[in-house]
Amino acid sequence: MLKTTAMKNRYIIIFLLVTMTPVWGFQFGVKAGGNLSFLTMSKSQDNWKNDLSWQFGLSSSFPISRFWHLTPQIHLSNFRSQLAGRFEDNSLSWNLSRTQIQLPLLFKWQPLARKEGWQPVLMLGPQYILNIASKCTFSFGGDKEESDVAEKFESNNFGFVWGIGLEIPISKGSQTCLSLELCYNHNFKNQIPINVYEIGEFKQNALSLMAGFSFL
Amino acid sequence: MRKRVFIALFSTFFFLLFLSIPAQTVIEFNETGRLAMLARAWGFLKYYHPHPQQTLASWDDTLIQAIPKSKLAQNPEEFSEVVVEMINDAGPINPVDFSKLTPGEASKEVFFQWMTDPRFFTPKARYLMTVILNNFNNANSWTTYQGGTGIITCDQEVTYDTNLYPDEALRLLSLFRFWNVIHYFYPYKYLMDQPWDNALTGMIPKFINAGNDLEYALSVRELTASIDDSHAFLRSSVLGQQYWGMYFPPFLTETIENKIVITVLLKSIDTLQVGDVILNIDGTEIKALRNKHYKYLAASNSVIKERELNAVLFRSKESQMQLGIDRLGSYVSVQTQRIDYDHFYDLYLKSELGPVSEILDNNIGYIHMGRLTIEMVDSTMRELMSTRAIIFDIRNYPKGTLYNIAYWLNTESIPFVKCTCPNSSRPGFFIETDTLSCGPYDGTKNTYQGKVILLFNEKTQSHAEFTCMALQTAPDVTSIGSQTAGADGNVTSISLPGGFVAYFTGLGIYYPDGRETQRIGIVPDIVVRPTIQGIRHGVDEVLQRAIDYIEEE
Repeated sequence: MLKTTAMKNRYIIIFLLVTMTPVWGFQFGVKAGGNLSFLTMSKSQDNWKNDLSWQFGLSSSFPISRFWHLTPQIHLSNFRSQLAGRFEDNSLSWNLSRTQIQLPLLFKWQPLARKEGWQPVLMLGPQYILNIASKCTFSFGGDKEESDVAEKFESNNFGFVWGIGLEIPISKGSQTCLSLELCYNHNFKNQIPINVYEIGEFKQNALSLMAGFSFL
Repeated sequence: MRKRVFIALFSTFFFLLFLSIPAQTVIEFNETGRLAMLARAWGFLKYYHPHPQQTLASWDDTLIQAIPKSKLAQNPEEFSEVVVEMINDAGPINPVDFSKLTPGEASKEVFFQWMTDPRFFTPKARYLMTVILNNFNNANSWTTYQGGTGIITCDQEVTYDTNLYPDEALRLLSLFRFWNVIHYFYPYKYLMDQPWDNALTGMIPKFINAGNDLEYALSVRELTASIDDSHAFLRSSVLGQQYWGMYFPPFLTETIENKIVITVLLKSIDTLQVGDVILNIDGTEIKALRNKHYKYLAASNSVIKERELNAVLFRSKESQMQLGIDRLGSYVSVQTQRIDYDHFYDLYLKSELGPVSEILDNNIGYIHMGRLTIEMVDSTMRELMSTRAIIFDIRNYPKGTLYNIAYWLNTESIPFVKCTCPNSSRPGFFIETDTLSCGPYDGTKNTYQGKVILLFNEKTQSHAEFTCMALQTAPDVTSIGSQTAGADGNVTSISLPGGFVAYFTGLGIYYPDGRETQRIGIVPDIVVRPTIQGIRHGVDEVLQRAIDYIEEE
């Protein structure tokens, strides 16, 4: 029953966003892509390798002036990092996978402010992050063990996003366009305030590349 | 021919030398071996794992759960699984807690070599323990330093003292807890007669098979005595009441000329005399009693074994005592009564009464260090300032007067001791302190000009030995007596299940040049031991030798 109500609410929100679009004149979009995370533990003595992972989300864009748009977004993102090594004659690896809901509120600047044709965009704005899952996989000599380390992390984070993008109309005169964005996510908060062996400040930033589709 | 004889003698010498080195027991993969390795792993994790999810009580529970699994393990994989479970129980290893996860190779340190044994540990278990070792960063919170002394305290341990005969798992916990605290924090482990590892494998069956509270108490006593430390007291109601007995002899004895001799009659008994040599007690020969009790006596050296033997030999649960005595070559059988502890202690204290200091014939000063308090030092030294020599009798337990006395004896501050403290931040390792000095820093005091004589014997223990070391810095000092207790350094204690409190020397004490006093004791310049004849005639031969020495000089 609860599930049904929740689903109903989601449909209502989507419906409102879609139906209100022409009223407010904003764009609505979906996007998906990959990211490369940059994990830092300030006192770690290990060399972590950054892995590629995925992210996707919804975006909207409110025109606030000729050049500026306000674009609230919601992303579901996964970040991965890997540590590989050997112990005696055995190979070992640690994989850290974190899944987050990112809520960036970006100011989009369209310097050319063209009515038609492709145009570059610059984006900048804060974001709020909810950590929803953190898992660690330990592989040793063929064995694999996964453990949940979510409770070790802060439940949230906040940071800043900046990036560049390109918006390309699908056809001449069309308000529907494809977008391509390259953004850097810089987060401020130490994610593991209490750790056992002084790994130092744990931060995970990311470079993301997303392709999207937006329409009126 | 001569060459062959030389080679034969040479080979024999080295063969005997080889035989005399205590061998390290090889641990087999059997029940005892697995429990011994479990003890090591549990102790290592106790002091090296940061225990984010543990209290000491729950860490004890972790061991209690692991013991039956360890006993049943059929191969290294199953045994390692028990160890990995323990690690995960304490707090699993993960990259968000540990700053170094790629150690490469297992530890090469001899102290941790056990964890590299492939007969017990799989590579994964070895890896996880190595990560904990390599990441260690002052995580041990179960021992703390006792303010200013440099020794550790173990006062967070759960006592489990309601049941005097705990179940097998708790008995093994008792063994593992004591074994590990000694393994990591006892500064003189390297001086033990037997490798400490052997004590673990040797004692496991005894702790498992202890069938009642007394057998368990005797196992604990044997374990604690095996560290060869005169400080290794064990507080236990079971041993006192059930084994040694709470009736005491109305006299004191000492081992003199390898015989048990009555040295003090605490109360007048017509049938006994000072100087009587005891041959048997309640029909049992002394030799048999010695064999029976020796392993339960905590002692740094053989002299203290005998001192401790004399302290318990005549105790019993029975008040009646039958003694076989050699009195001037004749055998005498004597029946007498033992007395209860309160009565004994009262009489003992009275026997210790006497003057704090006096001027003996020929202007020789004498100070009984067991009676001299810090407040008395200045007045006593002033009183004895013009004597030709002062005899400091340290055959007792001084009252912290060493620095005050040294102030009168030395013209300057002189280093007399340095210590090694257990490193609570890195268990198993020790920190050497700076030297401590005694004597005046300003050199303005009028120092004593006469000879200084120190008397000591097997009753000189711990702080008394420390006092000897300090007073040995005096300019014209001579030590007379015999081997001391060889238990220098402050005492640490730990509770063990079943209501025990076990003690051990917690601080390493050395002369500034590195010579140790543990087990060896203070070495006299002139060795003098009492004789049976001297005891019979009431002569204090050690004191007399000191007087003679002063006269000779």
